[in-house]
Amino acid sequence: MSLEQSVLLGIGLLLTGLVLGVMVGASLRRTSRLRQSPASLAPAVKDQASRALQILTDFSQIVASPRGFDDCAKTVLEQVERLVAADRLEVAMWEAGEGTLQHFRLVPGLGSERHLEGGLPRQPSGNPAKLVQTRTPLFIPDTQTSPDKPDPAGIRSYIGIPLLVGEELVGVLEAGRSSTESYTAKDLEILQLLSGQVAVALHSRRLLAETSRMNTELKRRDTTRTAELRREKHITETLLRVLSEVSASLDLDRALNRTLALLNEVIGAEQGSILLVNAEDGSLNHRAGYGYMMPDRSSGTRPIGLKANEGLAGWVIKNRQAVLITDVRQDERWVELPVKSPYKRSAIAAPLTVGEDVIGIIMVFHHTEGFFTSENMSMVQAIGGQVAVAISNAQLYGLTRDQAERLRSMLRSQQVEASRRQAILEAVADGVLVTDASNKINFVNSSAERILGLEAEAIRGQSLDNFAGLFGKATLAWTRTIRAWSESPAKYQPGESYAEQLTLENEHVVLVHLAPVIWQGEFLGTVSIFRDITREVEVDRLKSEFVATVSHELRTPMTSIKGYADLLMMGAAGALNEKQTHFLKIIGSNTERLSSLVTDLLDLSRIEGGRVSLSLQPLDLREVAESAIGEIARCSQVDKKAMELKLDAPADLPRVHGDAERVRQILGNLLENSYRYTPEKGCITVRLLPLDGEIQADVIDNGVGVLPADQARIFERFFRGDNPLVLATAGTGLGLPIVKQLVNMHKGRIWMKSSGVAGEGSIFSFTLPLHQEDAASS
Amino acid sequence: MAKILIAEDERDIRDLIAFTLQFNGYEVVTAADGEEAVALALQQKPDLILLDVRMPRKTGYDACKAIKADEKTKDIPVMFLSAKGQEAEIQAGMAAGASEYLIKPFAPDALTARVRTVLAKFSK
Repeated sequence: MSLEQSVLLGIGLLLTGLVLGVMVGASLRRTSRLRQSPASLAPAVKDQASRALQILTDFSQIVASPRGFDDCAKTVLEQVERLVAADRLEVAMWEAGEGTLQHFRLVPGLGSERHLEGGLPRQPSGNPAKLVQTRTPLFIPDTQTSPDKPDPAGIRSYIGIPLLVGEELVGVLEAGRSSTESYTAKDLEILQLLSGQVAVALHSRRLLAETSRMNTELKRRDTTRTAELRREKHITETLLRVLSEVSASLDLDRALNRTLALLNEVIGAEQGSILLVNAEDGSLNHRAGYGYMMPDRSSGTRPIGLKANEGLAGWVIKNRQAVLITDVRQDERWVELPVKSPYKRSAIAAPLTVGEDVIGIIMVFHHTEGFFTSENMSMVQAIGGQVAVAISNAQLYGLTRDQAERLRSMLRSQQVEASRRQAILEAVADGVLVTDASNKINFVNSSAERILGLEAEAIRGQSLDNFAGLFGKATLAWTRTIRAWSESPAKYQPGESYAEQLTLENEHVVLVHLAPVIWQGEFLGTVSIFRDITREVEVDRLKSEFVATVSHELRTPMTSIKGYADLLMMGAAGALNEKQTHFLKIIGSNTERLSSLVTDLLDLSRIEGGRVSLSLQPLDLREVAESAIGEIARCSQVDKKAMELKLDAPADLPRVHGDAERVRQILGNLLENSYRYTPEKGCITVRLLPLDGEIQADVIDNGVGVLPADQARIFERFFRGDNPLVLATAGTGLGLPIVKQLVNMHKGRIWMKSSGVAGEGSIFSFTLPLHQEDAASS
Repeated sequence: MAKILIAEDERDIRDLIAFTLQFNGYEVVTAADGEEAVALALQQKPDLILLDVRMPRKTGYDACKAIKADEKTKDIPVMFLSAKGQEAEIQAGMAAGASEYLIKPFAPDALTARVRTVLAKFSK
């Protein structure tokens, strides 16, 4: 018994030493030395030992053949059953990490073949738990005499063997008999002998399965990861394409439509829209679209009929949050537009955000419910971000471009304007000379060159200080004025200008008009206009000379005519009869008329030529009126034409500012007209009215009056109208024009009123400004 | 009776003036131009000289200046008779030393009256 045990132990040790199991076992069998070693054992044990070795060899051979764990486990159970009778035979695999045992046993199949049935891994209990814990075999020959209850019930005899590979527990092997015939020590020995082989075989299959499973898992994982990577790559690529599309193209419409097309392609959407918020009225505008029936919906901006706070878009904009909607018809935020779209069920909407602002929304649709995934939503959000930046960039670009365009066109029109102005300035006959703020000449036109007799190169850029040297001493007052304005522009009174007639060293007579350019208190320079009036001055001189000569030439014969007629009248050549006297009177009065005509002509030509200067002084208009009335009264007496003459004036009349001789001429002329055109026994009134800052003088008569049709031209030269009552009286038609000129020179006004009905007469009125002292005191 | 020198190039007017003054009882001496007027003034020593402004050889202004420049004739009053009735011309005549200025055409009565006034003023 002890020998058998020692042999068995020896073999057992040997077996337990073969960690790598079956193959090693197989080589053991073939090794002659090993085959010979049992032969060298004691003859008593030789039979038993060789029998055990045979069993082991056979078993090893059998269990080595199956490839998978299940086949192996089935074979193991079948072979063990062949060697040890059992009503219940189970092998269980220990999962150290989990602390569980998974039991396997053979169950009857459809035919004679049995198949392996595996239970679920579970925490060990009862005898298996003991085996796991102690790692030593458990032999219960009869459960009825043993305190250890076999498991399950009905088992009379039980053997449990832990399966070990080295020190490592890999499982347990259990055999049980329900019959009265119980296990013996021999059965225990066999099972113990086999347990090492079983442990190695199952463990190796288990490891193999595990490795293979892990391999498969790795493979599966790899496939999954690759797909993920591919999808991520796709998204990244799409984003990249969108990014490059939108950033490469500053044509926003194109970029947005391309973006939508790409996006729809990637996530499988059928329709897509980009709506922008109109900051001015808060409406939502369609900016870009994809997948719509009507081509005109694809681009451009147009309102969609919703406000930016309405509908699903409004919600997204308000909450700055993207939404994934399974079916828009089930969503209460969805607002159906008048044009219903049957293609919209699934939707994703994401806000377009730039900084703090939501500028719009990007939406994609599909006609089936629940089409989109949250991954799609992330994609739409990501692209929305890019689109927002692109729109913002494009808007900025548009703004910049508009600004640039506006500036360019402004610049262009300014250039056009400047060159036009230059052309005009060059073309005018008057000389134009412009000085800048530092009193340097920065523009001279060709007329100025000609008038001043200087080359533009010689004066352009020159300082004012050289003016006297350039233009002669006559220009001193002019340059002084420019300098005074440049030094203290604040003193300049708006409207003030400088005008002077200069006689240059080249004997040209030049009229200079000078005006400063002052803008917002800043002196920018001056503009001087030169007009060469040499010719005009000469013509004027010739005209005056001519008029003077003519009047002299007329007066000389008139002197003779009048003188000799007067001598005859005086009776210097003998007594005259009545007829002779009458004829001589006619000669006399016509000579008088001719004489006054010459005087008036001379006077008017001098006034109009600006060669009459007034010596203004305080003047009592009442005195002038009295004197003028006195003159008419004398005429009235001489002519024996009775006339009522009245003066209507307040006693304390303020004085006017006027030239005594010329004011007398004005009033005298008007009174003379009244006298001439008022029939005998008429009435002439001079009325003087002090007004605000001036005195109005009215000469009122009840004569023939002035026809309304003639009134507009009454102050024109040589105009006498068509009224036969007027034409009946001699007149030159020069009196009123002279009077008008003289009143204007006094800064007064002149006008007349008349009904044009004979006997109602006329009123000729003029005003003269008050003398300042009197104006101040009144 | 006072002696009056008349210088006038226009014969009709010279005769008219001479006749008018003689008619009023004055003694008259006549000259046809400025130079003759200056010579006659020195030679005849008239009480009054009437000068036309525009005359050949020597204008009335120049004749007046010459008369006023000569110690022997400078006290004789001069009266201009001219068709040039403009102020500047009157001023120029007065500046030349004239006492009066009569604008043509004139009435013979007016001439006689003015001559009488001037003579009365200078006879003292």
